[in-house]
Amino acid sequence: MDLRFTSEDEAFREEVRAFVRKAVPADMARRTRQGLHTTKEDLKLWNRILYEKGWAAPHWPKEFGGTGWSALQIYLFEEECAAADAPFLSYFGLRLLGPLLYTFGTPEQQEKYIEDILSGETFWCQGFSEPSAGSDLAAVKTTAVRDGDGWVINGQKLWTTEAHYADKMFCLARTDTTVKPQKGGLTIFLFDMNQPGVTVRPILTLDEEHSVNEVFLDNIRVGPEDVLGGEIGQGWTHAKFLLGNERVTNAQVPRSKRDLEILKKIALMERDSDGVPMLQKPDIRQRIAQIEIDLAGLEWSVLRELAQGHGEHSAPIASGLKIVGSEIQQDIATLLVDLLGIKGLAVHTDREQANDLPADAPDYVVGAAARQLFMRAATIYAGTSEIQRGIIAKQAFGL
Amino acid sequence: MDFSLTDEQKLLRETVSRYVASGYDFQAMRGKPVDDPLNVSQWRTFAELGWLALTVPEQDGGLGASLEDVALFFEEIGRGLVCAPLLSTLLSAIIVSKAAESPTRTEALEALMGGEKKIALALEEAGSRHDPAVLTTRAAQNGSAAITLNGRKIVVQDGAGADGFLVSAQMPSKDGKAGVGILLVPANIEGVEIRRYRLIDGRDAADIGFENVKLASESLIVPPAEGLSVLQDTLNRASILLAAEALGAMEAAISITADYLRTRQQFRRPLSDFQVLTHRLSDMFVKAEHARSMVYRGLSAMNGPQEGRDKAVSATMIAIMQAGDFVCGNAVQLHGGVGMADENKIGHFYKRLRTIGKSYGDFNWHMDRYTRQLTA
Repeated sequence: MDLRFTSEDEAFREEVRAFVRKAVPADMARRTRQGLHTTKEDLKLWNRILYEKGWAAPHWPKEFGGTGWSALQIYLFEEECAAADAPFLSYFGLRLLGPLLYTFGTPEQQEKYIEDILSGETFWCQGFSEPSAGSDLAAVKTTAVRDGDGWVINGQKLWTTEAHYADKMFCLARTDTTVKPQKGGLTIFLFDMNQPGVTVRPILTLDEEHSVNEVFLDNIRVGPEDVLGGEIGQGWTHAKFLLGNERVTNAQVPRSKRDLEILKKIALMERDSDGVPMLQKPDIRQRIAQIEIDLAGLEWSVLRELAQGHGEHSAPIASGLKIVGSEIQQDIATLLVDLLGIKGLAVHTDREQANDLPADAPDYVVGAAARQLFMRAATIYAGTSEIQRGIIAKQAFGL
Repeated sequence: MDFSLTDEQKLLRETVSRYVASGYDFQAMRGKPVDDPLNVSQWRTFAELGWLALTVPEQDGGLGASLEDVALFFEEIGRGLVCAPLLSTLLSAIIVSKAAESPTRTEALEALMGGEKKIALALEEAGSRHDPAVLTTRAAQNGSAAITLNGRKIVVQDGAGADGFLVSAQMPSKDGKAGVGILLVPANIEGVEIRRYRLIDGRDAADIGFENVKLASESLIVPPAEGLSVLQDTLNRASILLAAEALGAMEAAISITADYLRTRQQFRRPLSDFQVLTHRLSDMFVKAEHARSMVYRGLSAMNGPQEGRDKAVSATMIAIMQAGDFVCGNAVQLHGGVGMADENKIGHFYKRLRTIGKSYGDFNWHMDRYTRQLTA
């Protein structure tokens, strides 16, 4: 038992910090601090910068372009990126599809897709949820029907994040309706978004921002080379693998630590009617303390999980991290809006206007209300908190 | 970072779990006076197992265990809901071992390790509210002659059956500056008046008055110039060890409650068929994991720089109290009426957690200490 970072880890942190602090362009850092959804341009640029350094996907195996860092070092890297106000790289290629490809993909698929995911050249979206398949993912109705040596896909996907940024989709579809979805009835296909038959419609969320979409798939033709892993019927296995990976990263500790630091600085600048900084008020101090303590526990839960090294995470632990991490993000976003008083009601999602604020509207009000509203999604996406509780009951207690 | 246990640590945990599994009966032990034969033989066993020597330095014949080791030990004590004055004893050994070499020090350490004597910490006063610097008990000394002690301590945990007390008292140091000394006071000498009672968790306590108690100068275990820092360190250690005990208790309460949900039938179905109940259990699991992480974090801080310790320990205790109330409160709730019966063990995890939440610093005290150190 040794409950400290080693001196090598600390030296590693310094090395990463020195690079990252210089590498993030100042205007990009400012936009990240404001809390609005990251633009495609910023995602691409930051991805490119890290790619050139060889750090775009530290969590990947070295032979596929990873760094060979330990799980704890990767965590330190993410913390330093967040602290430097770097944007969070697009999730779907680097976090979700990439690991699927290097674990299950055919050599041809790995050859074709992996490098472009790493460099940020190709953006992917995740075609999983549907109108009748939310938490109940196995209920997807999108079909892929055999046609010659390929398939024809028809259906509708929903809540597809970044579909409007994406060049490609990995899409969960029903390939065999005669067997249970979980027993070989599902398959993941890879195809271009930029083709006739793919229609992307924006869905504005509570923050009045466009980050999710509905996607209509009308007679999309795919060949055998577009079947993930080359074998039909593996969709459920692949989906479960991916969702397990998603939960640990969804604790979002580095981001919440950064956001809490920003919040405390705002609490110093915002004042009550007596001119007292909000940070000096006992009720505010206690709310901040509570979040800080909850976040400290979450961080150490993540460290405990990571210290075991790469590989399989404990399912109930990962689900717990997701529940707590999402609630903390909500708590921070809500307290931030509360600190702003009535200014916290203003909608500032017009990015042109956001760069030209009146003197009495500080920079930090821009994304505050939008982020607070959007964060209601944190306990819904990537498996609702209720789904996570079900997983814990089943996996930890057999109930 | 490495969270895995060494072989020695595993062995230490096993000796406790084996003792508990070999027929330890919480219901038989709670509320038993210290001179009850059951208590006497239990304490002798603890001494034989080496538990009472854990915090005694190796050069004094003890085990000199690290704080991590002792925390792991208390985690198992909590899991087994072992009702015994272990924390007072192990903390007393830490304080006594800080004294300068003297026959008093040697005798006290040997008596603690051997299980012949028990010493309790008499720190809290009616007006102190956990602050070790706020006290009215006074010790006066003329040169190097006898010390006279006057004052009153309340809710001295494990105090009813103790043979002696470590008493904090205002005392000028040799250069005349105000300070806090720590004195070892036998329970049976003139001027010591003990009012004995029990606490909600089945352990004993006492309010203790000291009226013109005469003590040899050797009774001064920690001199006034160092007393406060020793007390602050002791309170941090006490909190971390209680946190570890609370963690073990929470995990045991969760496991017992999961079994209950599996077996208890209502509406011709097991309770585990009701999602509202299993989801509550899942939340209890999440809180206990949070508590475990905060115990590790607190232990890590206690090995780090002095200036970070108070805040980190308070963070741990805040998390422990909140998790403990949730986990053990809901353990009672999920047992329904059965959980309210005092003869059922499950409610006693709740009572122990409530006691831990008021020992050596309560929620308000820790939250106040934490928020004072909050920085932007």
